[in-house]
Amino acid sequence: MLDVSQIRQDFPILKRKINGYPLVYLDNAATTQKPQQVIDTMVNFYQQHNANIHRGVHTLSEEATQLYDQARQTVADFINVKSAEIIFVRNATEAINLVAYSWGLNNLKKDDQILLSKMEHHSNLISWQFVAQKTGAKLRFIDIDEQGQLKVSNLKSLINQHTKLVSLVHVSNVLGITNPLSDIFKKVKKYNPEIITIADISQSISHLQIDPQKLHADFVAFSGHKMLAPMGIGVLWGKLELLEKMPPFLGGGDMISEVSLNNSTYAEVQQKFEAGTPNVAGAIGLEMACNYLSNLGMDNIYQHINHLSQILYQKLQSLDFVKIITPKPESGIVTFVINGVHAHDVAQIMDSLGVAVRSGQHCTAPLHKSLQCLATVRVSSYIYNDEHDLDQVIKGLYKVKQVFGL
Amino acid sequence: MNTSIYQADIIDQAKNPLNFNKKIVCDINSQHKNASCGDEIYVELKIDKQKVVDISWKGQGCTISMAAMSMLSEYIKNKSLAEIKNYNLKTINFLFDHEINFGRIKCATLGLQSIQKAIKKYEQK
Repeated sequence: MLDVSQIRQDFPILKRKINGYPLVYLDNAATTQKPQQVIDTMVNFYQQHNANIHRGVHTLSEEATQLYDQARQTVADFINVKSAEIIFVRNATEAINLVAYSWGLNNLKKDDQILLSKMEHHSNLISWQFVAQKTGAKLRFIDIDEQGQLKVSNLKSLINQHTKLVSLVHVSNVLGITNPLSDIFKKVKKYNPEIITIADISQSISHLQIDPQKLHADFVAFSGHKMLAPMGIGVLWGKLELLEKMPPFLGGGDMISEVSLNNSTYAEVQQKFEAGTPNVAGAIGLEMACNYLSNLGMDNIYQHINHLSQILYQKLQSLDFVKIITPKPESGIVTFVINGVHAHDVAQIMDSLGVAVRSGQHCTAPLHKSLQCLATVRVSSYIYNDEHDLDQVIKGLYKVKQVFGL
Repeated sequence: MNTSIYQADIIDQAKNPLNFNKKIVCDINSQHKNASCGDEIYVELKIDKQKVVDISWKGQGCTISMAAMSMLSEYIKNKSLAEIKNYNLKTINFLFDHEINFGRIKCATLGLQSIQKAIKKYEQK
């Protein structure tokens, strides 16, 4: 069990009023709020330890380097991997692009196949479209059924000797359902261990205990900002033997071991992929976010948001003007539409009561096409939300009903 | 932000928009999409002596985008292309008699952008 009133004390933004009402923040699948502990640790870095890393012999540079290395170790422990395999990037999008450019462009050729799903966030779609256009590889997609679940039974027909890479989202940012990635990747690897598997864990890292090995993934990508950490820090984890063989993604300082004017040899894995001055404060903020979540316990977090989504689901089911899109409530996300009222209009009326929810296509245009929805409303709960917040959602929906004369 | 933009006449206009899916003989057409929500407006214009003389449009969208386009479709009739090309958010605010909030600017100007794209296309013909 989470002590929500205690947790709320850690989030200064929750004291804000929006349009005269206390903020009810339910757009956590887009980004979570940041606890004072994360904010403080970043302020402390800039007030006490700020220096560039890896290149100075002075005290501050050593401190900053140690803090950065320690952050990497904490993040590695958080997902049960070696710190040598953690690459800090800006966000999940950059992590996926890194694999697409460094592995994809150098290993894929005409008629190879990349398998994705129709549920992918654009971050796990557009970068592969680039790779396909440049290499001649083809994109194939796991379809979704009427409920919005992946049609895993079709998997056999989609995997063949041309399949070189499978990249899938773990928890859908729209539907909130958890895809059986472990099973899918296990089957893929059984068919051909050489096929590269990538898990987009941006939405699951906030509430599930992630272990890439248990997912049978070769790479995982996530953003810090969806798990209490600041924006601008994200992680690519990859198997060391794969990372070692991959060429650098960006060229610049800190990623080389020897440089001449026309040629250079590259540094070891992490530095090879972390060209230029990194986001040290961001990494330290991410470390604090990992510690904060570990202290609460990932199981407790999952139970809490699972409970909230079930409650909201039940409340919405009793409203005849609401059509729920989420097939089953499990990860804090409940997505719905109101017949005859556009999602943006719903969100604006909610905002007039201080309730922040997401409306639109949530960077998943193909999924919305499959679901035959123009745009949807998404309520996503997290550790600081409670049943009172969900009551405000219902109150907002009644206001929508009244304004639009439903 | 408040919800005072959602007046009964605006909601009604969005539900029963003017010049919607009308049969006209058009000189040019175009469309514009709001990538964040998928809303899209397709527009056809009949142009005579550098003026818009008739308009038909269709599309799907929120109350703001539909009502804005409905009002705009009446407003641009018999206006010169040069004048319409200068329309912007202020024009839409004027039509609503209400300031559109920042988060809805893309919705409010979706139709205007379709119209301006059509005019640009016409001038390049």
